[in-house]
Amino acid sequence: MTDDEQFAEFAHAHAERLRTTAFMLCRDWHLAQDLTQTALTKLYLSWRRAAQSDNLTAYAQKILLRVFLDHRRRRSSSESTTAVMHEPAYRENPELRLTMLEALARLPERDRAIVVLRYFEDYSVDRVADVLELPVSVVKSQTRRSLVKLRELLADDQLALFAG
Amino acid sequence: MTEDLRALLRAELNDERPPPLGDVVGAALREGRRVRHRRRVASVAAGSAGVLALVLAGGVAAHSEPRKAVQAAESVVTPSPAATSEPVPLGRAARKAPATPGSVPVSPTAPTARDHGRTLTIHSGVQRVAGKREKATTGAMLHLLTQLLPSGRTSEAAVADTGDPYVRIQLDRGDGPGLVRLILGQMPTGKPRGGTATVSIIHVDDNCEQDTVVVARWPDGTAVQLDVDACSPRRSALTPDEAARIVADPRWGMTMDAELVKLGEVRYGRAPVFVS
Repeated sequence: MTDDEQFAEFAHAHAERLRTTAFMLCRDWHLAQDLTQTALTKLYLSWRRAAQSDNLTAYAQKILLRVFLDHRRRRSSSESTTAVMHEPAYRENPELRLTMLEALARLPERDRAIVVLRYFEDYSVDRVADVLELPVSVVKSQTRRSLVKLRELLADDQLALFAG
Repeated sequence: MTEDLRALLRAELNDERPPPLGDVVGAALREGRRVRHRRRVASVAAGSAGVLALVLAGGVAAHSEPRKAVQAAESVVTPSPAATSEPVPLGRAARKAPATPGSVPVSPTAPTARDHGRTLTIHSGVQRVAGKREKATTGAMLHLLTQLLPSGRTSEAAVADTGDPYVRIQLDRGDGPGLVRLILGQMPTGKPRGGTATVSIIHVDDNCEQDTVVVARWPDGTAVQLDVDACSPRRSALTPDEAARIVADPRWGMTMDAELVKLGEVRYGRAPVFVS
């Protein structure tokens, strides 16, 4: 099997999962699709090296995370911020419950990536630290902070999830 | 807590209606190939400019100070396999070759420290190749390349989709396969072929597929380029000196021995095509 065929086989098997991860990070299916395609292109370009890695799936996730963070960085550098932060409607109307994905979207990009990797991809703290190239202590502290933040944002009936 | 959080995320994801995934893999493949091709073109252009600069620098230096003659050690030389135009192995050639200004020593082993490049002058001992000649084919290139490679298992021999004299093959010397690529070209100079090749060894940083690029140039403008990759942690398939010996073989050319062409057609006439 040629390198291209091996890549195509891997990519077909993992593209959907990568797109889902990308969606959880950006909450936009079309952007998630673009991020996935960019990540797969980068993976293709480094395929011979990637194929030697112990965990090819984690390698691909790492590329996707980098693509996402780079995209956000580029975007934030070209965006201007608005002076007034509008208070979310749910604060005025408790009936409007914030979903977990919405709450997740309110975390800073890097913290969001930590939560997604820790609690959706089920990565260990060490592995998250490796993927995001952060010290383990930072991953731990940011995870704690992110959970506190999510707890603040989510409705009461969902808070039970964080009791444990 | 982790399970609950994951379950909640999954439940919300299940409520999502994602658009069809589409041909994201095909698009990535096409874009990747396009980028790779662009990089390769840029790299070859940079390499050619570097080779030209090295050749020019070597020419200037040759006229500015005398140098030692080629002193290839027998240990680095493997006698060329049987062929109709029997070349003289480098070791013998070195012993026979008179001291020539402009020559530089050939180191007997691979350099221990990574250098940025070297230029060697290698005497083939063959001024004019005898026998019937035919236009070089990719089959003949692969056939000769496999004869010149050190012992090891070869696999995935393939030819470029462009129709150019460009081939590649994997060589496994016991610690995993490594890719080598060979390209032939000629920029006619009007001069005879001659028996001396100027061989440039260039190391390209940040491009594992062309970690080592070795180019032999003959007076008639024939150029033979061998790319040795270093994309995996194990050692490269060839040392720079081994690659230099291969490209300096006098049987390479835009025309090659008719028997080599015939055997190459039989052995590699149906080699798969790779996208270059």
